[in-house]
Amino acid sequence: MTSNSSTVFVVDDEVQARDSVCALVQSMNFPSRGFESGEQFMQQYDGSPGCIVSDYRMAGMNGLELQQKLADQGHEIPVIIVTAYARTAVTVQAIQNGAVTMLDKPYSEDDLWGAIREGLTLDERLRAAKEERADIDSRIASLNEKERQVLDLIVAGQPNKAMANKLDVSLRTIENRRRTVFSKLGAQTVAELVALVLKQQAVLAV
Amino acid sequence: MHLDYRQSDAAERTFPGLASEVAGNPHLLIDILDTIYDRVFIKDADGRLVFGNRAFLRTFGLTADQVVGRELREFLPASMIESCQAAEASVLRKGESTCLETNWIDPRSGQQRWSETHKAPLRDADGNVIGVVGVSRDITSHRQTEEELSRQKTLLELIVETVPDWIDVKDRERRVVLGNRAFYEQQGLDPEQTVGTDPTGDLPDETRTIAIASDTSVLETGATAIGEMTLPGPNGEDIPIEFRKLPLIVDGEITGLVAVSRDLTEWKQSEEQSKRNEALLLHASRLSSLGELSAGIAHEVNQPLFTILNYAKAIENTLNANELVDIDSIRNWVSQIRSEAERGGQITRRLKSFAKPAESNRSAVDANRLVLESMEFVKIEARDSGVTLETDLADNLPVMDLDRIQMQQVLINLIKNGIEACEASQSQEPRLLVTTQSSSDTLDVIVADNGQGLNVSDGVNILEPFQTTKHEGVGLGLAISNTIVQSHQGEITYQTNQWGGATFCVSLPVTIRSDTSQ
Repeated sequence: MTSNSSTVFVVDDEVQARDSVCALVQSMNFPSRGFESGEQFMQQYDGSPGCIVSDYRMAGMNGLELQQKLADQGHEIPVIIVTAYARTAVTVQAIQNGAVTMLDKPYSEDDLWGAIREGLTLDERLRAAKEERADIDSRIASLNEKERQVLDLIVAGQPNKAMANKLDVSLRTIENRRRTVFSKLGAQTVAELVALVLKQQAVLAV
Repeated sequence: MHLDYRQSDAAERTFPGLASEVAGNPHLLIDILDTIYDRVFIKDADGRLVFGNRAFLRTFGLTADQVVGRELREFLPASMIESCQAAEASVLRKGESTCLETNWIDPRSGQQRWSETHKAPLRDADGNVIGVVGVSRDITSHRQTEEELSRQKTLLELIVETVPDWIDVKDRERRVVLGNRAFYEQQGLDPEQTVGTDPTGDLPDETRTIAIASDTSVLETGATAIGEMTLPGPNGEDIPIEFRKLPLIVDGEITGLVAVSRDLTEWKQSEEQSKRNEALLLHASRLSSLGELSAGIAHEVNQPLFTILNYAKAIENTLNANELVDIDSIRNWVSQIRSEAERGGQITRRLKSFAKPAESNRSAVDANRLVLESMEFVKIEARDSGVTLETDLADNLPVMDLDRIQMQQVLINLIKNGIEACEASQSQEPRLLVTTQSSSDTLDVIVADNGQGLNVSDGVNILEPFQTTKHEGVGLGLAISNTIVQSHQGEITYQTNQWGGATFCVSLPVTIRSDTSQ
């Protein structure tokens, strides 16, 4: 479920349209914030949770360009593109870039509500996944170089003896390092350990 | 001339200024008679010639000796003999002089000639009539002039009577001296009763004022007066009249005036028809512009609807929620709905007035506002094409008397052309600048773009119909714009500008400035 700390960011260069979308979003009990251009949004966005409802056609950067720019800067915030008359090429591009959806103006309230819900849910999942990755990252980062070598060999399926031979250390040393790795990464079994590493390396799986 | 010796004192008259030997010369009288051009002859009571002067002899080819004893009928044309004899008989019988005009065919030249002959009784010392003195003058050239004049007068009268224009001549007191048939018939006047009167008395006040003022002006200044007025027609309709009055000048004095008037009804009708046709064409072209701008217009109309819909749903959501209603938000949203509905109304009004088939309608127009209104129509197209619209509008422009819709049409056309030129050139930062400025003579609206520029072959005037460099369109836009601007006494000029794009300048003379401006 969406949290109330999420904000719907409304980007539209026409003030009346922007304000009315903000009002509608507020009436749906989502906090909203309006921006008069993609440029202004890029300038002020601090990475806080939510989703974007952006007009496609605007003076300055258009909705697709905003979406691209956000991706370039590592922001994974979901974007809903609104257009008065969708052209197939624009729609395809938007979806390829990972837009949640395209809404034709004037859209029905249900469509907007559905799109926002989808956007905010996606944002939460993306954030959760990102947090988990960050957590795993930090745990893996806590390993020293030797422990890291052991981790890589465990994930590669090497038995302790083979590791000891390969690293030219005693079997006991390997067992000690192995314990430290399990403890630092908070894993009980080899399977858990492999899952953690896969999550860290995996391309975003939603 | 009356040669009646009894009544004159010729017998006692002498030549006091002449030497006595000259004055006493018995040939003196003959010498004098021989020097004059008139034919002089003397006949006795029997009608036989006793003398003919040199002119007489020359006319009939005789010598002085040959003439004596001859009778006039021997050399006169038969047609003249009878009247001559009758006249001479009368002179001899009554003792009174007479004058006779005759015409005859000169047997030598075959031409008709006219003579005027005075015949007077010749008396002896006792006063008895003893003969006739005749002085005959050739008046052929005089008569020919008279005949030519008469012929020309007849011709002139025929022309004046035949022309459909009304012609009348008035004296200094503005009384009708003469009028042609059209003048009398068209106004239902009786020539007999009209001549010598001022016929303007029965006219409506306004028409009479114009008629009298123009008459007076011509009579006082001698300058031609040209104007229009309206006369009541036979069925109560107004007949538009164009008149032209010229002074009648005799020996440097203005003695009256000649007025030529014309019924303009048909001319006005055809002028109105052509105005209607033009209005139809302009309307068709406006509709075509609207068609080309339809995507933008649809967006523009949708925008307030979209906004209104959003606010309405927001209010609905808020009212349906089982929470305390934030009345301030609702109030704000309702007022937004109202202002958006008003905006929608303005847009449709603007479209409606632009699409309306209106005839030319001049009103006081602020050129800067005109520019901004026109840009409203094309802003969506500009945004779609990524063209930045800019304005540089001068302060204190004269308010002009313009057809607002038509001039909007011109500016929309020029701006749209500019946007298309930018699109065609794919320039990096496409922009279009509309400038207003005024000088002592003109108010200029200048549309400049940095698009592909004018790619015009030599000798091609792109303001003429069917000249187009675009793939779409038939090339009527600029021609129609040019027609509109010309009907405002202005002109459109164009050139390539410093950005390589095109600059179009609509130049309007400040003479069509509105009365409402200072």
